[in-house]
Amino acid sequence: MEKDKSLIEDKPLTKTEKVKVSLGKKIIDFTSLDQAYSLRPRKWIMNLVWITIILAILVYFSLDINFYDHFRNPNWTKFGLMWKGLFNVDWSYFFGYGSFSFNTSVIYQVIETFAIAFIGTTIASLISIPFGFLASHRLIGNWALISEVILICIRTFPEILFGFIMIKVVGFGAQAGVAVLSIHSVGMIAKMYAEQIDLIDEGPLEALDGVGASFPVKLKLGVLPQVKPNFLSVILYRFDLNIRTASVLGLVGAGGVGYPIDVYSTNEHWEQLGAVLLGILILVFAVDAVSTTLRKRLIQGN
Amino acid sequence: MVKPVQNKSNIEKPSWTDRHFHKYLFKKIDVTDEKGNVIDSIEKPARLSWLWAVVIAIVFGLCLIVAPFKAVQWSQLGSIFSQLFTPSEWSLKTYDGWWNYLWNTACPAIWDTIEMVYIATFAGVLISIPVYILAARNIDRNPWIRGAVKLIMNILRTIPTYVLAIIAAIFFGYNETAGVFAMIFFTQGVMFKMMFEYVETCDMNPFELALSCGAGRLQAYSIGVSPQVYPMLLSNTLYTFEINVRASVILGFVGAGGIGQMLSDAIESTNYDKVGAILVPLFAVVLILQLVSSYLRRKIS
Repeated sequence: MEKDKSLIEDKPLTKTEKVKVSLGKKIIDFTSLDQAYSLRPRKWIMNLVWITIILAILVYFSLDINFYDHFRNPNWTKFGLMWKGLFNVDWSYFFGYGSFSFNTSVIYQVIETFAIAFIGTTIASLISIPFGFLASHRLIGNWALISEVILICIRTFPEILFGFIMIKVVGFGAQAGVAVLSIHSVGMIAKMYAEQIDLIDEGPLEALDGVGASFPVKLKLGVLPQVKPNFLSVILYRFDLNIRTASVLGLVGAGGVGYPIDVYSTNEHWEQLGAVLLGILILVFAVDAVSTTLRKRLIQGN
Repeated sequence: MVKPVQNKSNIEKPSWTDRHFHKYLFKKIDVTDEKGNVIDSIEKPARLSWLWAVVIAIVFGLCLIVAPFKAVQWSQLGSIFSQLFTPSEWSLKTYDGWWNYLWNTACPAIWDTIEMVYIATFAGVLISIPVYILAARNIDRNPWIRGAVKLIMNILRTIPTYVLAIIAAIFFGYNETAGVFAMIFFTQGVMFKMMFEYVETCDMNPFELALSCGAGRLQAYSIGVSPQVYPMLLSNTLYTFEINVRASVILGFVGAGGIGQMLSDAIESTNYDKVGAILVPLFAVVLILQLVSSYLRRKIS
């Protein structure tokens, strides 16, 4: 009886206990609803501290890079000129007639960008297969770390600097872009391959073991059907990204649409810039739409 | 005379592909009994992987016309790397100069870049929060608003970041502010894409409970769905921070400040030793950020 009474009684807490509870540090057996409510975790204290820190850093950083000074003085006249040029597209440059030949037109450069991304992604997806199997912890255990470190280094290397190095090795033009993409994409594709291989269901493999299948047969019937749609979806995703990367690589001279964008924006030829931007937007939008629908169908299993 | 009304809606019309390509898309297999008489015939979807292989091979061949393979001079690779890491006579002169450049010029520039990325990530994530709430099917019931938001975001996401940076650089001048603006748009697009699908898969019971207690939809969101979304938001913010650091290198090449601009200047003036001195800390910073962010994200989720 006495024990029950002590449970019902409200015990006042000491001050230190209250502070601990308010920071969510201590769990207490509540004796009544009112007490439980009064002891609800005061998360807003920590949240306030965090928000203050984040905002203080934000203000300090924006003062440090003179964010507001530049923000207050935008160049309206130049912006207006550019805006006009972007909507007065130079069609002779876009299609390559008049003073422009087809080999310097936007259409050709867009096709070149597509070609760089396509060849680069295809080669990279083939190179990635052995790397993907070597980076799978489930297949080869801790030895996968070696391959993983290599892949992280490839991923981390800035692609534009890689483009600069490849230009020295291969020479100016689309080939440098192909070389960059086919090496740089391996970092991401192989990592995602490895993730998919780690996720496979072992049931079919055990069944094949049971009927005495050899290793290549196990690979063909047990592993490949499970990972194929995911592998293809990874490749399509990377192709989508590579279109953007291929257009960036032109900035250092590795072919594609980036070089004319750089030239015309620094020389303020807005109408030609408008034509190039239109071309790249159409390309990116089309590839994005196709890749998204195909990926959706692949994952749904059609 | 009253003509009998034909109910056409029940009859399924074969589609265009069915009428013309059915025999190619499906393979007919006869089922026979023990004596060899045909009992039934079933249709099995034909294997079309060879068709895909042919299509890919043709596109690959066409692409090779535009970008043919070229002999690679691997010997050049060694010489370019030695140029990156040996101070040349006309720019940095000695190894002391090289290290000095690395510590006193390259590292502060990388710090500037990180400051840019911090501001851009913060602002981009803050902007994306109301946008992805508006686009989630289970929170916002108005299909017109949802469609409009998604359409605008898809168009914005299509624009490559460096194009945004060029436009911003013309507006704000060739400085860090332009880069920050380009990255705000980029961050917001990435966050939107990752978050709104996550919100749609959330558990809606707390949301409906709050609604039935008389809360408004926004209040119900903040009490019922927001706590579920919060860890994902944090982890995606870290991820976008990491992507932005890499993207900022490219932004510098179109003149939007930070480490990229310094890198582009060094490449254009053929001071390759400076390129090497920038590359080392940049690589280290990106690597460390990647490891820290992946560790933190694993801890959050």
